[in-house]
Amino acid sequence: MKYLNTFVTVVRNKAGYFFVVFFIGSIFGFITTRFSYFNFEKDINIIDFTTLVVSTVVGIYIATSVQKSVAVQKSEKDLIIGEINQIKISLNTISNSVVQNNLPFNDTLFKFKIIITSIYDLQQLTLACNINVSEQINEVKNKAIEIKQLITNISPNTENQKIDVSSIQNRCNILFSDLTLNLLKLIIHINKY
Amino acid sequence: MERIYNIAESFSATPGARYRTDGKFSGEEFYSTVLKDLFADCLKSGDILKIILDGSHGYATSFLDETFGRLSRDFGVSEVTSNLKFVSLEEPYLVDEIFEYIRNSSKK
Repeated sequence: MKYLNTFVTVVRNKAGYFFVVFFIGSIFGFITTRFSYFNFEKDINIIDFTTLVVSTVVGIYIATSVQKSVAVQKSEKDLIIGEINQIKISLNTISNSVVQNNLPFNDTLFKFKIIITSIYDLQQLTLACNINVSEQINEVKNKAIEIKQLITNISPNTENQKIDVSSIQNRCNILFSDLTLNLLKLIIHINKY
Repeated sequence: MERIYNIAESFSATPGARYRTDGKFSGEEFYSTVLKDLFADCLKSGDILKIILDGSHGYATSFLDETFGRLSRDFGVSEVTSNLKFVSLEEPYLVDEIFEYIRNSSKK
């Protein structure tokens, strides 16, 4: 059991993994040369051997570095798309409040501030990840600002401090719909990277 | 020389709407109790007034339009644009928005 645990620990370590594969390969080579029906040449061609070694090393290097690069890119995209989805959720909250015509003044202002600063943060994040979607993010930002300006230009009701958007509800719904579409286009662009 | 005024710290972290009748910390209140005299004083002393917009819970369009649009109507577009600066790191678009209200104020 102790030897089994030691073996498992060695195999889990990458260097140990290669030694184990090399050992198994050597045993296989020994068996096939001793007991096989086919005759194997026992001469070693230096050029072929060198080609084999170099090809193997290059293959391993490409597999590990490319694999790592793909994994990093995927995690960056997932992070960015996660942020976009958070923005979508926050926008949906305001959109629902518009439909219900239930917009507390201070609360709505604060939510818009959070959303728009999140869009600016998203812009910084995509630049840091070398994903060029500035145009798409600017479209999202401008649309969000347009909605905010439309809604917060209306004075709140003096008694309950709520913004009455009944006169602009249709316009707001169209803008929110455009904004949702822009966000989805942004996600599609990011996925193309 | 610059004179700095932080709206969130010195006036309110929750600026209101346009008029006093709309509620507390309105644009009308900010203009008449703070901005008008402050800007006039800066003009007299030759200082540039730098207004910090960061740190609040957000600015309504009506607040900004009432405050800075009125400033522009009372003092002139040229005087205001030459002697007023803004810091808005959290919402950079606000600076352009405010200058648009300043420039468009004469059309009202």
